[in-house]
Amino acid sequence: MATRPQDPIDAATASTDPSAQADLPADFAAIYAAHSQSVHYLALRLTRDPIQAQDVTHDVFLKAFRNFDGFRGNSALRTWLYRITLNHCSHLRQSWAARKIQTAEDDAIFDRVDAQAPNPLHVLETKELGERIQRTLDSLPGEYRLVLLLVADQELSYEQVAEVTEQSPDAVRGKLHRARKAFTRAFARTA
Amino acid sequence: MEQRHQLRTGSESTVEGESTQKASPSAAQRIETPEDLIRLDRDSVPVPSEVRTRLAAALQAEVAADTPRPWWRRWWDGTTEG
Repeated sequence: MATRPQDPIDAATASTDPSAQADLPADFAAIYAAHSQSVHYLALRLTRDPIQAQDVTHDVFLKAFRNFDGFRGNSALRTWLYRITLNHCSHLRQSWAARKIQTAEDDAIFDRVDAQAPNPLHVLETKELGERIQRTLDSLPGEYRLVLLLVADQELSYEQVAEVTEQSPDAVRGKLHRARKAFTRAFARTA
Repeated sequence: MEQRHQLRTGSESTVEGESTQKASPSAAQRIETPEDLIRLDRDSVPVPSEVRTRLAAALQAEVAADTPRPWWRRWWDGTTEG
């Protein structure tokens, strides 16, 4: 079986993950174990949809596997995976927008359904903290939301966040300061 | 179990919120920044196992498609294409 990826990975994470066996190629399983939760969480909070987040996670790792030869290693693997994730979420949003022109009323209905759904498809959203964080993030400008989600990943430096979001590290720091204030105010309103 | 999340950003005023989420013991500690809260949330959201299962199946299909069939298989199938 082909084992394309040969990138250094978080060996500690990989070796302690009991699921990192058998089904995926060994070295790719280690990469999946080290990065899938972060990719999935970013996708979940950007798409607001657990099912779409699963699809995005699947597609991101499939794309990474296919294109691993193109990964030059001059950026961190996590940074590269996040770029793929953001591109994928962006395409999803565009294709959704192209299919459906939403009115404010539609948005309100969507929000109500999303927030209240007892639907098992939204099982991840039933946790109160998750819901509050989602509502808070949704109320922020997109650039604030993204900076907070990326800075929350302690594996990424400001420089790497800047690389993922295609702006300068100083811009990231400035936005982070404003994003923290905005988040704190908005989070209090969700109580 | 009721958890109390306290969120403070630098010199900003403290904002408190409550959550009924059953969280890890670390949730009980003070949350200083939004990033702390987001990390706490992220750590409580596992990747569903079906993602890994689907991915494994997709990768196996890709690898199989990349692997040329042996000569005897092509002969058996009556084709000579790779």
